[in-house]
Amino acid sequence: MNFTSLDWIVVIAYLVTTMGIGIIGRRYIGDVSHYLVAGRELGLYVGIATLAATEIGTITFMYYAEFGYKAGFAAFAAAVISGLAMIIVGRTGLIIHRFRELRLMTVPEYFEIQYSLGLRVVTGIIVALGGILNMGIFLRVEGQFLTMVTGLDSRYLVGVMTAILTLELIYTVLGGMVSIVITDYLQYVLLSVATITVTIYAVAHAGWGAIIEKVASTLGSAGFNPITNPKLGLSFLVWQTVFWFAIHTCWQTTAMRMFSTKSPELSRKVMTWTGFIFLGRGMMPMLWGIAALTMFGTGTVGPDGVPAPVVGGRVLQPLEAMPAMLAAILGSGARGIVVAGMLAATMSVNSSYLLGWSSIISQDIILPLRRALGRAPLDSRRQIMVNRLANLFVSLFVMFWGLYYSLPGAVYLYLGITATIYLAGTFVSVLGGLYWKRASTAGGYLAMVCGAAGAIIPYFFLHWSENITGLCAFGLATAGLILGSLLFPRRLSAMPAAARE
Amino acid sequence: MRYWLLFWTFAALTAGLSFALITIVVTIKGGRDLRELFRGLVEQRKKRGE
Repeated sequence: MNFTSLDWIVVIAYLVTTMGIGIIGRRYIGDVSHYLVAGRELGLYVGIATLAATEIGTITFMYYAEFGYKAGFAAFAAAVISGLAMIIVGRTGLIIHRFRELRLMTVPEYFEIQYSLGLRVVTGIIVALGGILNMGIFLRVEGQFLTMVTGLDSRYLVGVMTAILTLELIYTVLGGMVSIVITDYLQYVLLSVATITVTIYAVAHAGWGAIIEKVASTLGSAGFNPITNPKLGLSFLVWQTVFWFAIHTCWQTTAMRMFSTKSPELSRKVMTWTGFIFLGRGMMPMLWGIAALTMFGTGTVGPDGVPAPVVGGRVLQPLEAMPAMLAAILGSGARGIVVAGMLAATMSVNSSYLLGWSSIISQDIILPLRRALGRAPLDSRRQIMVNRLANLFVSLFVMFWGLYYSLPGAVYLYLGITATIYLAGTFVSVLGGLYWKRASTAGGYLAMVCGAAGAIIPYFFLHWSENITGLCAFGLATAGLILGSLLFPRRLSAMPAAARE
Repeated sequence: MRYWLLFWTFAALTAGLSFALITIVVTIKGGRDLRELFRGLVEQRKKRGE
């Protein structure tokens, strides 16, 4: 056991405070817009805090550190692309400005306004599928991190996963977006302190000179140059650029923050400033991974072309190198603060994702289907109840998937592909709907189906590389939208009123 | 390789500093935003007559 009493006190104090604050959010829930988009009352600073906290979790630290371990400094390219894309989206208002003007609560809701109710439901199903599969591995990876750093026996992994999920589920179900925003603010502060602390510790322990030397001797110039790196290359850079523009505009949890801001102009400012945080969100954990490679990368060279980490004579997976390094370099007290920070990161991400995907199930699948069947609309309180039940369903699925699914490769790339299942079609259809007058409902259907098939078939069945799979999905979705729209043009009379306007 | 290393070092320093600075500003000013959020939500409920 690596944890001392002092570490446990820090962690338990954090958990009790978060739960208490999270439950307060329940007081402010009046209707479904309070529950899902905090009454659209988010200001700039708390908007930045909740957007950053939502997209920085232990899972983020784990997959970026693994990526840094395997690709060296070349991995930084992904972080730079994600940050710059966010700044550009914020500055130009691409998609997000119009989304906020439309007062949406979910991304698929746009499909009903622009295309049809049927396409909204189909998009909702594909979004929920991709999103929940994406979230499915979070708990397992987070549980691995916590058991490694605290030194808990791995037999307790399931218990740790259940405990994390239960805590975040309680306040998410009760207070929805309001509870999430309040806890995100606290969690953002804590996780930022932990991120900066770990970066300083990691570089100080490994030594900057030793880090550069290790990357050069292990990976050669491919450890610095993303274009010549065999795992990356130009295809990776192009896929990542398209992918991150899609994420920052159409990823449900990110979009919900934009929907929650006070105005379209404010949503752009939140996005721009968070873009700078995204640069550090990627590069700092990648640096931890590179430091872990420097300290522990002494095993035999694996299929990834990097030596396996060896800690105390035990051979680990590259994914486990970073938490093992933290367990080794952090002293008593500091370890407690860092684990509390990581727990904060974990809970802020998971609670937001639970709300994000459950809101799609309730608002874009269940409620529209009720309408299509001619049932009376639900009042706000019943809509909140449906959301809470969907929350519970997503939690149970995530728990099950996390326990039984084994990852085929690098976590970062798995997450990228599962996100692409829905992002390819959604991004292309939204772009087409907003900026191309000829985009039709048939084109939208084809884009969604081709985008999902273009991610699932090459990756899971043909075993193509992630880069090519990602490009294929976005390419097929674009072809689907164009072909469908040209072959089956939109008829003005069949269009929803809002789209005609 | 040398130029890439220089570029990544500069990028990492910029990223780390931006991260730290924005965190400080958000920590200080976020509390006021939260109070305004609560006030706004209470007003919305009052308007709806709850």
